[in-house]
Amino acid sequence: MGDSERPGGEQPRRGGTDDTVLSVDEVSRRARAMAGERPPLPELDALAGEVLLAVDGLHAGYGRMEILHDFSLRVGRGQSLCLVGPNGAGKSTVLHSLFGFTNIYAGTVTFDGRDVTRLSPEDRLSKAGIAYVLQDNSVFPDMTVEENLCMGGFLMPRHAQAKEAAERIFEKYERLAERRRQPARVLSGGERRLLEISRALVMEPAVLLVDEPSIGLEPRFIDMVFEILEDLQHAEGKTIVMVEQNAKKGLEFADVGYVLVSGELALAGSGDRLLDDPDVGRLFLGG
Amino acid sequence: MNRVHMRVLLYAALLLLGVAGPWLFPSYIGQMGDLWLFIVFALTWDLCGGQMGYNSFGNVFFLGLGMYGCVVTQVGLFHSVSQYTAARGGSAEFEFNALQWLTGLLVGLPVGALVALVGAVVFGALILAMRGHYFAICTLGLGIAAGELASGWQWIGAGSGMTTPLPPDSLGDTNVLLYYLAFGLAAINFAIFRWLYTTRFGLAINAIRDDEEKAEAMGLRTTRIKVTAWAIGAVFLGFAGGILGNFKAFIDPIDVAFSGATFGVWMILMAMLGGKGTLWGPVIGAVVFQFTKELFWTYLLGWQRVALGLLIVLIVVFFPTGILGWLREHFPERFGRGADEPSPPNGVEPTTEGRA
Amino acid sequence: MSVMLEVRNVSKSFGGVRANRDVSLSVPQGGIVGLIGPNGSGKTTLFSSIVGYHPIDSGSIRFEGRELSRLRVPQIAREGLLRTFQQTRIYGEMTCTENMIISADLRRSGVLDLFRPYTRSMRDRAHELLEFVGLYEKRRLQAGSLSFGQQKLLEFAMALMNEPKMLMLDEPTAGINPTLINGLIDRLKRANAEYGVTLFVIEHNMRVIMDLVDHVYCLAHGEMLADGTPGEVQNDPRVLDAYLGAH
Repeated sequence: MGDSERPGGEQPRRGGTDDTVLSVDEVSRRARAMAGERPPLPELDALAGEVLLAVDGLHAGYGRMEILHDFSLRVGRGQSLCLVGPNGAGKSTVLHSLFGFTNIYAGTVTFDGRDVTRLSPEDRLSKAGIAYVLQDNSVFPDMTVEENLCMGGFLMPRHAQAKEAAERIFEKYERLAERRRQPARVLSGGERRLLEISRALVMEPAVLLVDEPSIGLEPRFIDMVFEILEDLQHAEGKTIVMVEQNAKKGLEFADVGYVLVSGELALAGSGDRLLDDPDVGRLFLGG
Repeated sequence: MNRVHMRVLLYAALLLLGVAGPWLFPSYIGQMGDLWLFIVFALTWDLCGGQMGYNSFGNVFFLGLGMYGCVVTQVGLFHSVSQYTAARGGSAEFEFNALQWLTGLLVGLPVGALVALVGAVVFGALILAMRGHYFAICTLGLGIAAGELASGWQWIGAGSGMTTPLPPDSLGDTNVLLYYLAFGLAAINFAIFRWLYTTRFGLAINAIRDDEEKAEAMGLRTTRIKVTAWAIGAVFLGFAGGILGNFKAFIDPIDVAFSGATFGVWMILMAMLGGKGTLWGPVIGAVVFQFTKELFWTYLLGWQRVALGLLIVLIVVFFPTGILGWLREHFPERFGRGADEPSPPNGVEPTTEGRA
Repeated sequence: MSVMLEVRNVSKSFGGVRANRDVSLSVPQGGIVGLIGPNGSGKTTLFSSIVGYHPIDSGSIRFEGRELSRLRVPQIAREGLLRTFQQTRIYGEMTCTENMIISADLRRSGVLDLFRPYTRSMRDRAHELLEFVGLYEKRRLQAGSLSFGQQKLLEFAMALMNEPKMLMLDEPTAGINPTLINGLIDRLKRANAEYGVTLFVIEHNMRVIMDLVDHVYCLAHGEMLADGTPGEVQNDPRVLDAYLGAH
């Protein structure tokens, strides 16, 4: 991308021209042209290996508005998958569907061989082992860090179990332990994200759905969050499905990448392969 | 039957009922008059409550102001008000000939509306700085306070209230005239609001409802807009008050003029029943409510208030978006968003544009 | 080049917490200035102080020479100083087009002008701006049904619709697709170059800062830490330490 590769110190940045900047319509058109046919299921299976989480022919949305059209997905056990694509393409909707927040008009969601399409979110968390980390700030601001973690274990049969789980988290993440009795609202952006992710870990889920892990975080915390996720995937064997608008970072991290355009799967491939693809770069990664 | 046909049919039905009512159902002229006034109640409440998000529990304040303003004018133009109220309308001295009665009414109505308008501007400037529940409680207080003050003010009859001037026999059944005034008011109210909701003012009050802080941050003069909206509603309610007062022939400060427990609550109910924040919602709500209420009063006498209470609970629980909201959810093609055009799913481009 | 916004020694505390401490900065007319710093360093508080969202404890804020610190939010907005919110704010139950129309410039009009019908040109401009941010197809949908990123784009379009003299943007690219960010940067530059809109931008995305702004201020712990050209600030060891990390 010509415009951003300029030697430091030079000032001419005025008036980007139309050839260097793609309009949204242009992106959509080229994306559709490039996507051609949807990636076939065998390709998705191959990318996943031992499939843990699967979506087949999903038509889902909110109320009467269908966002995802005939969407399929395969994630392997212990794998990480990153969803990228333009705003409004339905990336968050995929996560919402995996967790049970959407209206499903057709298609299925399968977890470890079991059909969980009609399972409620609480059951997905407590019985199936799928946890969700929201995009927005979701800590309980007036509760302490410790209380927030215990809330993560609200569905556990006994409160003591939640407390034990919280202790384990404090052992692992010193940063949170230092602030355990402070109200969550005083946490910095990075610490807050850490709390949100750890809170989701209390129920010891097998799958973590993370919606925009690095959104709004300052540069030094972005790396921190990805390090945490990397540790969770490789040291603890969690399966991670994420949406990340900072697509470069997301695809660098993830094993597999899916590109969504207008509610449909346009491309799927390993994270590295998509990063190297110049078309993907130009259309979705900002060059 | 598509939207346009449906709308034409509705207009025709209402117009027919309105114009021919007194001939079709002469014994129900009081209830039909009430119906038109109820439509005004619901529409004006919805302007602030549904469209602007400011739920007023005290709009009955304007009804009462209009009522007293009108009747005091009707009497005061020709006689001493204090003497009139002292005699409690029982004395034969206080006669009104045909011209006096008509003049009194036709001058009194705008005066009542003006008093209501002043009330809205004065109090609006004070309490519209408050948001949400504070505003609601303040307006509740306003209605109650006005009722108590009126009960203590001897000049207008205090707790004994005022009887409206008796029309002379030469005028015949003045209820028919009052009926047409009510119908006319409702029709004008509807027409003006229909226009209002296509202007930027209509958008402004919706913006205040959706995010008042954002509206301020974009430069909208929110306080002025809020007071203007409340004042517009007050004017129509003021007119309605004068008409209603004359219909009832007797104004009681607590039970009729500033009756929070009946008209005050019913205003909110009708708008919610029909669908708040829409143009037709309050109209539908008023019609359904009035019919149901009259049915209860006729066939469930003794239990009518229980039935009404249950109806209120049913509405709030099962029809939170009102009848129109329910219809839109279940038949979006027919009733979709908006008065003029259907709202297409994303991607489909209709050729016409309009305020949805 | 004259100064459009002059912030001098502004301090603001919230219940014992010193959100802004003696902060001074200036934005030249027609310039593009950035504001960076860790979360909690007082950037949004400073923005809110400038636009009159809350009174300041001490200091002065001048816009085109006029003191702002005692004016209220709508007044300041009508002076031509507009801000967008970090937690994107739009009118959820109105359509996108309606959101645009009600955002049109109100500087020269009073409440009564709202009763006049809106012109064809106003509607056309609304559609043109919606098309730019890629929301033309969604123009008749309720704004509340848009995704987070789309709402952010709508808020941006609404701000442009208002034709402000100066636009203060709070993290305008957070959550926006990188390819679209290029388009936004481009449009911001054009709004600045062609229409003379002065820009003051809070950002975490250093690529945007490098590409867009002339001058950067860095806040940390409520105080001004450093300022200079993007190149200078990006290499300032204090900034690296407090904010950028190992980048």
